[in-house]
Amino acid sequence: MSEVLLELHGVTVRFDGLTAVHELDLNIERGMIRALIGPNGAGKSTVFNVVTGIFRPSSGSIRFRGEEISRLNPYHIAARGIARTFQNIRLFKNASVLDNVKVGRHYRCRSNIWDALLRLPGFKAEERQTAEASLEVLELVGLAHKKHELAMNLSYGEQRRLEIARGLASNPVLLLLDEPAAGMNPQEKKNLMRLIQDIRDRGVTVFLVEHDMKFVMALSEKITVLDYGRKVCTGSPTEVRSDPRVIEAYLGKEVG
Amino acid sequence: MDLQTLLQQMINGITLGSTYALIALGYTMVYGIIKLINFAHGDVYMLGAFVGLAVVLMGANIWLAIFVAMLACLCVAVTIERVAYRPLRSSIRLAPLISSIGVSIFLQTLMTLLKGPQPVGFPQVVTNTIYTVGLVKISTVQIIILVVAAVLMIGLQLVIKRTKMGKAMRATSEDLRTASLMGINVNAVISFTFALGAVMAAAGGVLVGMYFNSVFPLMGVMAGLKAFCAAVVGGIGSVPGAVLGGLFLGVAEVLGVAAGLGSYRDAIAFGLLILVLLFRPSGLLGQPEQRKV
Amino acid sequence: MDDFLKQFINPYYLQVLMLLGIYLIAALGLHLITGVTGQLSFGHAAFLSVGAYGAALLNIHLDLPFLLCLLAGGLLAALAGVFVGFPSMRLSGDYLGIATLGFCEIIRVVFMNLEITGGARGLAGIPRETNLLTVYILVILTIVTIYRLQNSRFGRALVAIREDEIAAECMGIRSIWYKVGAFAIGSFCAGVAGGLYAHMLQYLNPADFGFVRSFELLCFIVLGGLGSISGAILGTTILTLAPEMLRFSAEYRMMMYGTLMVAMMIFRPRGLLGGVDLRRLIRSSFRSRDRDTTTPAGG
Repeated sequence: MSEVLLELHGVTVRFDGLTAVHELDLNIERGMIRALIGPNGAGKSTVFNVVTGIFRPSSGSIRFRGEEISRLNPYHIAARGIARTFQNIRLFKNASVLDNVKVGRHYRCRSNIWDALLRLPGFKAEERQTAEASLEVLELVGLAHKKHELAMNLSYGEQRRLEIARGLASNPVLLLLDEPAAGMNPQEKKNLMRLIQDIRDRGVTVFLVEHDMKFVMALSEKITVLDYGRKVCTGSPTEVRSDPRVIEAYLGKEVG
Repeated sequence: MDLQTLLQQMINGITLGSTYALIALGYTMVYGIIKLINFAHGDVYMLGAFVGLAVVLMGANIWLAIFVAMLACLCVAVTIERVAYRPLRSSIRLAPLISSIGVSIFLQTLMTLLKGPQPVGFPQVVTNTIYTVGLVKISTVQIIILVVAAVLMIGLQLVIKRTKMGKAMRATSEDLRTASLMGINVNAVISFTFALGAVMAAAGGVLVGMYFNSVFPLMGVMAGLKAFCAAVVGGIGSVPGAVLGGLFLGVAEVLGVAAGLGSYRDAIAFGLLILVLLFRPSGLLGQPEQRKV
Repeated sequence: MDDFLKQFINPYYLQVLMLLGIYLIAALGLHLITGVTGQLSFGHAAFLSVGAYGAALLNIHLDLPFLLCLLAGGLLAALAGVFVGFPSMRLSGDYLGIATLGFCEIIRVVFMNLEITGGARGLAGIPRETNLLTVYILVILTIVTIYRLQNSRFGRALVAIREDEIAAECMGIRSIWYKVGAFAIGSFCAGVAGGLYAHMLQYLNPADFGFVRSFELLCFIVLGGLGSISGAILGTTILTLAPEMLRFSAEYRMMMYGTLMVAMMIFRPRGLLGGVDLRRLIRSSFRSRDRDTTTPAGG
């Protein structure tokens, strides 16, 4: 059994009286493509928000590489090697594609205000390296030719890919993808699937939330199903597909 | 400060505060609907004071003066909205704000050109008797201010709660786009909101002119800013909040001056504003904003 | 230098040019806070006043060298910026603007009441040390500084915060640090500008640093095109010189100024240079020339 990278134990998230996630236990093993699925409002994005420090869990623990991170701020968590994308695409719209990716490399760089003002050789070297690394990631997602465009001028699918590139630029250990295939056509989905596999092959563990069952089943190695904030089951795609509780959660009682 | 002085200052504070509240209503309603800090609103109030003065000088009584001032300011405010804000509704947030500053400068210089920068005396229009009620004294003018302000505020509340237009206003302030999809004529609602705010401010202007016996072209600047503070303190977007905030600031200011902080008079409102913002950013009666992801 | 120039330029216009330079420095500071970082400030004039009074008092009472006074004024303003910035960072958007407006007015009232600043009578007897050369050297220094900051890791973080603070934090950017940093640097610029202003006019009055002045600075950067250095420069230049050009109708000048502001917003709501990226414009014009020369070869 491979190393457990991220470990959620008894995580509960409550928003004034409403329980979005209830006593969730979840393990993510290194090197996998791991998925979290569930019907609308099941609490999937909340899990992401709690892992990345945007929300604090009401109770429970979240350990990343053995270290408790549930009380840390988003920027501390990012610096430990977790990058993410957002369900409703949160790019820096009025910045260029290249600059978006460069921001992703923020904590990989060290230069401060004085370096920026004096433009010493060290600063120039770091800027050059940042640009090169960013371009490389852009090439991976196939957006290198649009590096000078403003992010807002990209098509929807391109914006999704740019968000992935921005997350990748930081060389994360774990990449969280929040509904990466939403709004994409079948061809784009196919390309995206290949991209996600590429990312995994580069040694980045991928954890994704997705609506599209077909997409998830074809891509992930292990799936957890969430319904009304509770875990329904965890297993391989075949196991999950045949689990009657999953069918019930998705289709309601009348079918099951 | 003994009890008598305290009570007396409370009366004076509430009188001043109710004029702040009248102006604050315009800020809060407009912000509630189109998220614009309408910096020209204080100048509409100033305009109201001047129109009221002109009517009084023609020999009319105070009621007619207030009525005419309201009517005039209504027209002015609706025109301002139509000309300077409506074309900018879909542009960046700061554009209408800058535009409102432009309108404010325009109105101030217009009045300075017409009347000169110096304060103009406001004639005594009512026989100002001073009544003693228990421990405190209250003048006819103060009674008029309190009564007019109360009547207007109750009237406003009725308009918002009971009329179809008021319902449309509330819907629009919840969500402008959805309201327009539901078939609400958003432009009409916005014009109506500006009109209501202007009517309140105009009455406030005439009342203040009568209270302090003078009006001047820059009178809307500080009063407008303080009224705006009142709106924020009460919770911007909330009509009862604006009234509460206005009264609160008025009382605080008068008590502060009585306590010997006279030279810091203008800082009192802003100090309270910052305290409220830091500890309860959504204001006393405002809805807290949720962090959306 | 100024004496030399006075042979050619009317001293009044010399003063206007110096004032323009001073406003440019202050406006570029605000550009960093509001244009780049997206933090609304309605209180920039307060930092101008802190720098102005700080520099002037140091010069009058301690007889420090002029440039040192400017620096100290700038640092005092930066300190005020941090002081205002930290609590304000809990607020965003209009609320932040309103809080800075409140701070600005409080600082003005304090200067109005302090003994050492001469209270409402104002502070007189400041030596005249500011000259055109110093002002424009500092203008160029400010432009270079802001440009370099913008095009660095620091500047990219500021833009990221303006565009989407939550996403920025998820990229590892500790936003509060950067926001306060932007406030401090922007206020420093205002403070230096204030010091120059004090040593140009030789007299300071708290009434000159009210919120009206803050809004004026905000108008400069918005009218030029929010977020771009060239926009800030253009807006400041136009709005500082416009009242001078409108002198032919001295009486109606401010009325026209107000109308101009409304009209500019209506016809170019994103500012004169809004949406125009000069660098990209230059780059694309070069690129199109490249393409022209390479197309025949079958590019």
